[in-house]
Amino acid sequence: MSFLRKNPYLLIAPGLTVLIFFLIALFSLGILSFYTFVRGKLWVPTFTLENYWKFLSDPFYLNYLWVTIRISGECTLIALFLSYPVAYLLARVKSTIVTGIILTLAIISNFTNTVVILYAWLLSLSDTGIVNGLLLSLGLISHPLRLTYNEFAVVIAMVYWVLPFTIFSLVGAIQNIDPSLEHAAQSLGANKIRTFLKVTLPLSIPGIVAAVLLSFLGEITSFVIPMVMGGGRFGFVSNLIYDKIINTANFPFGSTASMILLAVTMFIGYGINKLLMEKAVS
Amino acid sequence: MIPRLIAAFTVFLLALPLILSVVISFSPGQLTFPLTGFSLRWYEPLFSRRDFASSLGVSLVVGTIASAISLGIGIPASLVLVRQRFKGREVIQVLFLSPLAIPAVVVGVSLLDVFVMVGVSDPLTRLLTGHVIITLPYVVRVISASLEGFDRQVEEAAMNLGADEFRTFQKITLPLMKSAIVAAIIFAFQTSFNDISVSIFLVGTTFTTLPLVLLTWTYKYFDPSIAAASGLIIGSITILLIITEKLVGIDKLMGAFRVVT
Repeated sequence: MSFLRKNPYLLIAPGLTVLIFFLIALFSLGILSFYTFVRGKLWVPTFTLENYWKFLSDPFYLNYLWVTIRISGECTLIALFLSYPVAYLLARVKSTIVTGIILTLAIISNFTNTVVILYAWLLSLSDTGIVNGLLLSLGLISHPLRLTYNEFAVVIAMVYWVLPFTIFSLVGAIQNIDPSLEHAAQSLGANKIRTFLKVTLPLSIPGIVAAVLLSFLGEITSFVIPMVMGGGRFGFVSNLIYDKIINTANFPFGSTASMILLAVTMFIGYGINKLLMEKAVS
Repeated sequence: MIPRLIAAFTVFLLALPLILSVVISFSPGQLTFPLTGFSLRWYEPLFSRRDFASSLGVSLVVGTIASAISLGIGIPASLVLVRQRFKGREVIQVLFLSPLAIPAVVVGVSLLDVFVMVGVSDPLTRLLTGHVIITLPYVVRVISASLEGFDRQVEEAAMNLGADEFRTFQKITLPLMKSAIVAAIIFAFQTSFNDISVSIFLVGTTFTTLPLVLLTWTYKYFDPSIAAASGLIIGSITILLIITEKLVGIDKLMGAFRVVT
């Protein structure tokens, strides 16, 4: 196409404009993180590391980082555990009805507003909700458990939210494992557990890494779920950022916290990606 | 046996809030499951609470305009990225997908920072900019994927028969990209309509989006009107899908469905 060949930059110019604006926004984020916060004004333009020092030396703020990473790690592990059987089923079962149902569920849960889903979970986990109702009727507990507005609620909601991602990351990888390898192992005498541990699981590692990457990064950056399900008593780094910017109008410190979150995200993303590359080579 | 139990449990887990949400929206008052009756009372606040209608309008307008802008920017950009070799191509490809790698909150804060710094206070401008930035990567990704698998022979045949580039693009390329374009529209609009983490930094006091209003409802009211709002939206989407299917045909819809997944 000669028009394309002669003017590639013309067609891509609007897109580049948007991107450049975005880069400027990120740049201004960095600049503001070095400014000083003064009550009454928005900020005072200087160059100071006090915001970074404040965040990285105060255990109160570091705790946000720790809570974010810890809870996200728990959610990723639980999600992996729950999604592997579903992914295996999807990969091996030929029934299109089963695939269709799970696909539809995953898509609808993605398209439905987070707030609505969280509301449904708060109802389900409440003292009179379906979870406590089930546990009580089975006689496993004698009075309702406090399952809302705490860490448990956050974990459940976040696991729910990442499940579609982990399931589909794993399905692709499991589909690539030749079933005859599993059959071969079993014909050589290995039972189902041994086959799984020695054949299926190791071969599905790229899928596991992809699932971990996708879910963990999504979790550490999440905002609404920790805010609504946590009840305000604790929060993730993104909740701290929101509080600083919107409630205290402390743009410098909020920007610093954002930069730190960005750095952590990039570092983990790059690190896990590198792990994936090395595994692929070996 | 155990894996199958876990799988069944997980699927049940996936379905629970969706089903509960729809069922609860028709509850007459008691938030029990199963329902003690059928009532539309929780749909009433959708009309009486002023913030619902106005925020719904904002979300629809911003979603439509932002998606349109993203398509207008993303389709030409994808054409260039897929079909042309030029300096910096790989870098620009990564750059176009970069908003996906940045935490949504950071996107919101950085945009607020730059808007305050240059003095842009209009919430509509702020929201539109933010939503274009977060929807553009999806458009570029979907359209690029479709263009990469594109059979150029049909285009070449058209040009051999005398059509110039623009005519070929208009009559051949675009129609063949229909599934991908529908998928891109769905992805873009959905991302914009449901966004919270970016929008929360860009809205004004009276100019806000539907998800943010629903968020305040969970604190202010915490009643099934939230579920009713979702019921209304899901109902509308279903009707929209049926209309789209009549217009575009079920095969194009399935094609878009497959591209989206």
